[in-house]
Amino acid sequence: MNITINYYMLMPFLILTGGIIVLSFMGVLNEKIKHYSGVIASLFLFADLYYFVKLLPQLTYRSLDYMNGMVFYNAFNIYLSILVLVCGIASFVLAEGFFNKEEFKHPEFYAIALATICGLLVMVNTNNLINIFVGLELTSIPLYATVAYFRYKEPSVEGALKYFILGSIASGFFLFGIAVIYGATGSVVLKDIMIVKKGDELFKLGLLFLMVGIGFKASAAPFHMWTPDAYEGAPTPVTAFMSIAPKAVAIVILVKILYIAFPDMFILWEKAIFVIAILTVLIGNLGALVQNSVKRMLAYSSIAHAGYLLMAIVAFSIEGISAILFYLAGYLLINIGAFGSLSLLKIGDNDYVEYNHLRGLGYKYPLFGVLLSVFMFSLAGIPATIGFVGKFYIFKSLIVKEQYILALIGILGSLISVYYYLKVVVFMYMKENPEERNFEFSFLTLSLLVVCAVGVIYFGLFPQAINKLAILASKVLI
Amino acid sequence: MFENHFLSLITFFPLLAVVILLFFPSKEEKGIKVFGIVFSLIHFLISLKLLLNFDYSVYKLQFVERTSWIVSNFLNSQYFIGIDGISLFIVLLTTFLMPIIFLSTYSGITKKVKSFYIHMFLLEVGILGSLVALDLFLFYVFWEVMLIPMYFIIGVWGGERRIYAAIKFFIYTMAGSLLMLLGIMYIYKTTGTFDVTKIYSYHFSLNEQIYLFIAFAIAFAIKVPIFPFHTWLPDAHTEAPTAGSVILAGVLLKLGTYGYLRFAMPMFPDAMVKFAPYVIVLAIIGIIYGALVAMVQKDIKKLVAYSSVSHLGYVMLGLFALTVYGMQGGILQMINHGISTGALFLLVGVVYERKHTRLISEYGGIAKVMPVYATFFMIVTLSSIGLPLTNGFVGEFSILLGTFKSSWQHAWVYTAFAASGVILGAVYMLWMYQRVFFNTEPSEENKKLTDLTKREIAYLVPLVIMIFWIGLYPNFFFKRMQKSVDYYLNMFKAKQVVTVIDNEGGKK
Repeated sequence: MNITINYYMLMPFLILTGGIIVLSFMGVLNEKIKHYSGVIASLFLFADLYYFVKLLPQLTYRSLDYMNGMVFYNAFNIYLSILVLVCGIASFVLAEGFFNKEEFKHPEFYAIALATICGLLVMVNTNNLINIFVGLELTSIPLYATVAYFRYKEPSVEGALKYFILGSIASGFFLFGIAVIYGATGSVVLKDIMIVKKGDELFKLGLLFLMVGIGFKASAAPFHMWTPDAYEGAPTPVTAFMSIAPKAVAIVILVKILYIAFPDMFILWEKAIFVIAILTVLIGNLGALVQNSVKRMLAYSSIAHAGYLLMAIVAFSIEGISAILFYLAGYLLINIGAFGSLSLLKIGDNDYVEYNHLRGLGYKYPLFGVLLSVFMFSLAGIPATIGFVGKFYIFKSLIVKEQYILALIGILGSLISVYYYLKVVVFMYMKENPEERNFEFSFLTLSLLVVCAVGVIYFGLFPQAINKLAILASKVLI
Repeated sequence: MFENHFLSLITFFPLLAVVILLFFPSKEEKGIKVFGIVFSLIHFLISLKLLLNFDYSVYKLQFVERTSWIVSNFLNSQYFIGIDGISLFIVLLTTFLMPIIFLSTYSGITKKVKSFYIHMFLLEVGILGSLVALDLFLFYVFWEVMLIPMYFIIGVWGGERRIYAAIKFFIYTMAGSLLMLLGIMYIYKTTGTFDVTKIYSYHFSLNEQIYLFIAFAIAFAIKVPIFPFHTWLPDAHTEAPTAGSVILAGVLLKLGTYGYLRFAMPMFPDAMVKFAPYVIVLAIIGIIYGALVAMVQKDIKKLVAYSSVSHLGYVMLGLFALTVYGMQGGILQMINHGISTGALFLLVGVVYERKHTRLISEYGGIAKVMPVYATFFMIVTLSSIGLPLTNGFVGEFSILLGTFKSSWQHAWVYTAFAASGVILGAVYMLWMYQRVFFNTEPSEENKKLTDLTKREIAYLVPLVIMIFWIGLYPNFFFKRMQKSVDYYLNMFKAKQVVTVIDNEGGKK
């Protein structure tokens, strides 16, 4: 048997693997080159990005399949890959601005991060449950390491440990689900699973396990317990990354599994997602309401945003998927912005930020104040920002499908969220007695934040560009 | 270039001011203030062209602009703006009040002047945008964007409990808006358009109408505010700086009543007929309750705030009477309230700047010390009460007449109760006036109070002129509303399925 390997199809993963090897060896090279490790790591991501952007126009109506769905490119997958890569590049920029140059061992961090991104790409660009699982593990294990990067800090280790243990259990669930489904159908390819007639209980069990496993990764309630601790413990750029890319991919994998493999069991999983989405929105928002630490608040708020995305899954329409994809693009901009703003507020490597630490910052650092306000208003879903348009699409897809209860709960969640997002603005602009804390803002991070803020407002007013792409990508899925 | 985009120019003109202000150094406070006054005055003068070129001989939307804005498979929204006799005067009121407000803040705002002016201009864009938008999505965007600057104005430049008031204001209004948003989405789902003029000609089933009307009505009721949704208003007013109060009472509240007129009523006529008695009863409760609560206030500003609740009750009553008189009176009363209550807040601001207290008990007998001030205050008070020759009389009289002639059952009962509000209004205003200006000899402290400066007189005079103009020659305004009001009522009548409202006010 003679297998010829199609290198062109495997290119993105090969590039990143090369990147991991290069960066791992850079540590042992001379000291000078270490300073450029962030740039070099970003170059590998840019190369990947170039590959996908070149590929996208060819895939409007067709898909590329390699080894029976092991590697599978279509517009939907590419859209997600691009999001992941952009998120990766942005978090690298944040990391460059965040970490202390002297104490921080650069190259390894980026090598680990590249492994995570590679795992996400594997997960996205496949139609095969086994490969999804491989990608999941390749994503998770390096992430545990990056969360615990400040290994001498208690919260960091605690968060990483929680994340690690729960994440491992979730992976186990997911794998068991795959096994059960394989037992029931004799296939692990999503499309084949759909064709097989399913009537037995094994199937429902398999689906349940898959949903639980993915629910952990997407930080959906009631599997969200690790989220606040892990997010708080991780270095802020890592938090920014893990609040977007892995979550987005997990939600999309859930969409894929449900829509491609189990569309005929809609009645069954609709109820489950319905309940999970409502719980997630409420728990996320109510949890964020009572936090003192801004980072924890954002962690809970990201749970809530996962809830809005889950709601759109119930819509089960092209519109719903395009709403999810649009929302993810917007969410990328906003969350990079929000966590990026937080990453600026550190003294030494102490990045613990309470609301009280924000007193009067809006006047002390006007640009920073405006940026953070824009991101907060956008998270709250105020019009003229991309957050509003995203929410609008999601709720509208629900209304079209006459899911009024979900839409109402979502609206209620948004209303609750206004309070805690505004609290940030209140402390920055309306409270007296500013804290005597002086920050040194990295220029790199600030400029990235400005780009994000401009994007948030521009796409909030003229969302067509992203929306067209999202619709194009979602048409291939159903 | 601006011939075809005149209304856009008017709407976004303040943004130019924002851009220019960004380049001002923050320390140039005097320059910023003068710039704000001059700029808003220019804006007002330009906007007068709307009045001059407004064709009131026939109903049509004027200064219309239409371009596609968001085009996609699931959301098609146009940039569609225009004005008619309903929104014309509120737009003009906004541009008219702005220079007055800026003149008054010349001494009132001392900290963070630059950002205050920026927020005021942004607020103006939001208000004007909401008034001219004829596309529901566009309207909603402006409607919400408006909240942000107002929230900052209350929260940063307000009084003691400003943060509480600002957040309360924001969350209250947002709650209503979000319900309305669901309504807007539903409308888009069923009609496939956001274009208001197209939606007017669409018939929703009665059940749909009821739910949609509730969604819209609550959003607007919070904004107006109708009793029992009024609790944010006294807080917001009490804490807001004078300028914030004037714009809030003068224009922001009108957006609620305007919303009823432009959106809720023509789109859902049947539901409207079903709910009208309840709304009217709430409006009347608001009139009487607002007046009674105003009576017992110790704080002048709170008194004026509660009088707003009472006056807005009249506006709602006039709109929901569904007669020509009522509706015209309602629209006129919106303008009147903006002028009179705006003037009252400015006047309260004058003594507050001098004494830093607003408690009625702290004053007394100051008519001796501040005769000019007392005269102005008297004129505005009488206008607020609705004395003939002043604007308040015209508005209230039309509203009561319209209510009396309306075809609702027991219309005369409504009228009787509403008219009792007029008396109560006289009671609380005059009693307050008496306690502030007469009653005792002025205390030693109050003898030091200085009378109005030239600047203060300068911004009060236009308001007084308006008071008498509307009071003596309301026809100028009625003429321009006439066609629009007729059009709306006729459309309303034509769309009725459940009951037929007789336009002339005869009983069925």
